[in-house]
Amino acid sequence: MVRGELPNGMRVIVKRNRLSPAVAVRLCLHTGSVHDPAGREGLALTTSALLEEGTRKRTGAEISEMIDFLGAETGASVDKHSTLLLGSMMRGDLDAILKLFVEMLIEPVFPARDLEKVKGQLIGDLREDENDTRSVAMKALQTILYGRRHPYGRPGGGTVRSIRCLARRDLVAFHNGRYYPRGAILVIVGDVNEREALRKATSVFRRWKGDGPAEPPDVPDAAPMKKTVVRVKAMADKTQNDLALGFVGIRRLDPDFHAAVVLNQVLGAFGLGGRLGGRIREEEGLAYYVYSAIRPSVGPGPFVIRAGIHPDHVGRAVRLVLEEIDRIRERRVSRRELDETKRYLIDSLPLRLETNEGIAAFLLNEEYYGLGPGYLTRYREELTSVTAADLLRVAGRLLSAERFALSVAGPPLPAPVEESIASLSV
Amino acid sequence: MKRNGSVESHRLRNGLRVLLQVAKSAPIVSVWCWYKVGSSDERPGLTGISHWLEHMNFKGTKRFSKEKMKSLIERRGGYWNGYTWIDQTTYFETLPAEHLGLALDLEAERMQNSLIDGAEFASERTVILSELRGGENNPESLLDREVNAAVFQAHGYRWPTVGWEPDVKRITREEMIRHYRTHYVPSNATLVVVGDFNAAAAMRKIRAAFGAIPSGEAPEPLRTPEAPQRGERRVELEGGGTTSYFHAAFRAPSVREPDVYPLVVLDAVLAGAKGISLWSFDGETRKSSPLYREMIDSRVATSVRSFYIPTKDPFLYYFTVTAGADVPVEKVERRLFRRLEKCAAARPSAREMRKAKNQIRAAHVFQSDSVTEVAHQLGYFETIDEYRFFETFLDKIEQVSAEQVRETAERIFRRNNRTIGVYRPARNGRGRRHGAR
Repeated sequence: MVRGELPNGMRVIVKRNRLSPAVAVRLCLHTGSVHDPAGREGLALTTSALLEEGTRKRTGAEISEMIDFLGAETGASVDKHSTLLLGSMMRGDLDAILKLFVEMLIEPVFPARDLEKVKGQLIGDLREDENDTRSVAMKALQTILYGRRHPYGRPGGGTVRSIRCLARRDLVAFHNGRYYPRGAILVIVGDVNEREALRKATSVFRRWKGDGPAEPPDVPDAAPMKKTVVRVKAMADKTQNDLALGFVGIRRLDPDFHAAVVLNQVLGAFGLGGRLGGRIREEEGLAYYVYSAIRPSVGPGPFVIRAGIHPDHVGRAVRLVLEEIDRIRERRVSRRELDETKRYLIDSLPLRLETNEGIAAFLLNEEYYGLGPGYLTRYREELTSVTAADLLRVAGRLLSAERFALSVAGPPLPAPVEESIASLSV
Repeated sequence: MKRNGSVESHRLRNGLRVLLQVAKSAPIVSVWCWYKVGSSDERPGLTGISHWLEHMNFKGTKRFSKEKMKSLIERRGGYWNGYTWIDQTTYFETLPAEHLGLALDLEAERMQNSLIDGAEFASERTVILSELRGGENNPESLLDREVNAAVFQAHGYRWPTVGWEPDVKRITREEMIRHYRTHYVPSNATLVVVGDFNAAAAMRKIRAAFGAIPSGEAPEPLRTPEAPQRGERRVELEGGGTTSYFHAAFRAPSVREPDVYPLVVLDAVLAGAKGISLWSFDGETRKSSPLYREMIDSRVATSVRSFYIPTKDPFLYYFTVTAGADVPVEKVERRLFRRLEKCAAARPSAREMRKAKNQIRAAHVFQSDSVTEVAHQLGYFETIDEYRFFETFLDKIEQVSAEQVRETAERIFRRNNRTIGVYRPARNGRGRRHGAR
């Protein structure tokens, strides 16, 4: 692996992996939906979606024709803190794609006509989300947990109203202020000569100028739930409810990160959904899917439990979830359960690092959070040292059966079920 | 993934087909066990039984009790799963190479010693009902189901893999055991191992694990060939939400028909290549493609996708379109069919052909980058035809001519060969009334 830093502050990492004649590229900017101005939610996303629609040198049609003729696959995505350009290509095409990326970053033109097209697509997606029980449940949960003032409570994908408001000048201004090379991270993995690829990337990206913070944006703390809040959304024409029960979680660089990873596995991820899967799916047959997930990030991403449940059984499922939360908060996990979970997390690393994409994602994460080049070894050690007492402590810190957010979306619940759910918030 | 040498194909005395491919790119192996039984081998009354049986094979065998099976693979750093579709049922484990023997033992157990315990059988019924209803929450999967049932009047491709709800509610354990005994025999199965191992040593382990399983008799396929379609068919649904969807299904060639290759090229020219992996078939339509220009650039639609994958019997070339806000579905229909008819009228240019083939080749490389993917592809094609389909695929694609692509479009995009599905938001905007409350 080689690593370099350009005079403009951009970082480049190249790793050779000669398993196939292909290359994967990831380019990460510290620009995300946290930077959307109020009332312009979705601006970061829309800006990134327009990058491929034309530069001063090439029209959108020419760009897509070039990418498609090579058979390359490219795309842009935006999360709360970053904008990511992604590409997979045959090894001979790396140069062409890097040159295209730099053009898209430096001199996009944001054609008005394409802006209207993309806005139409984003609004279409939002309208579909409104009819999607999983999405409705999850969006409501996010709002309960973080409120409208915290960046995690605001919709990164925008709202129908905010997307409608976006004008070309918003994108131009956002691009001028928020697209800059300092701190940006470029990762290249695949069938390349490392030094040569680094040289190439350096010469292609050196003309990118501009300045801004070299680190991911600050995200404020979020207060844990002080009481239980329940939202039930009845939707026409649905056959099953989706529920999301959650908490404010932790940051990626929190000292409890590794313990939280193990905790999540035990509670609702390991095997077929951990303890939750064992109880709700395997023993009681109440759900096809039930799991927990954490999203430790720059800020305190949520700790969520999700399941798809028949309306008659929603009350029962929620009770079982709360019982499992109590159990993991109050009783030490067994040595066997702990060891198996840790073994899985450690021994599955070679599987995660098999493909160019997998390696690129790992290296980007390592660089993004400043974890250092020895992180792979340290990750194993950190996981190994997690104890049952750590899990108790972290479960006590993050989970509660008395103070949580619960969101349910789907067909109307039978009256007794709705009452039992509503009574949780008293 | 770097493959060392070619695929080795063996057949054990009991009829089990074994495919081995050494790939020393990472210290891992992927083991897949395939059965030539999918939902189209079922009959009315028993729909969904293959898929349900697949679930039961995660709930204990004689040697691996349910408790023991739980996290059997995860605690060794691997992952595992299975799926059932119209032509096949399959299970896999991808795990550190030193545990190859465990994965083989597990699959040998599944072939002959599944417990299908009564209590587990009962509790899984409601899990599957939940899976089925989760799908019904989605307007497009509802529409899919209706369109499939309209295209196929006789063939078992007619019903969803998860089954019809009344059948899932009714099927008995005895019926499932019979289904299991009939279809889970070595001569109806293919074992695929790809990854970092020694082929001779692996064959010894495979013989030890599977060699003693009685051969049984592979069941005669019970499938009614679908008669030619005599006219356009149409299904219309109304429901919740504010979005309209338009689906068009054209009957398409099976894996054994020569049209397969021109059709894959046709789809790449029209919409962009997605490869021939079941896991990546729903790739985005490419921005430079005629289909994207016609439907998205014109803002008639916010999304358009096409889907073709080779199957054992003739199945579908399928289009899905999400209509733009306030765009009448009739306009979507006109635009889409107008574009498809152009493919039948004129050959693709030399550049379009080159571009399509470049994309197919690149997608093939990207999709062959893990032992799991390669093992899946070998097993998928061996189950519906033979694994060589995957091995020779790119050469066959290279030979396709522009005229063959046009002819294929002409044959497939006929009015009499299509079934249309339309989903419209109910007029009050809230969908039909649901229950009394």
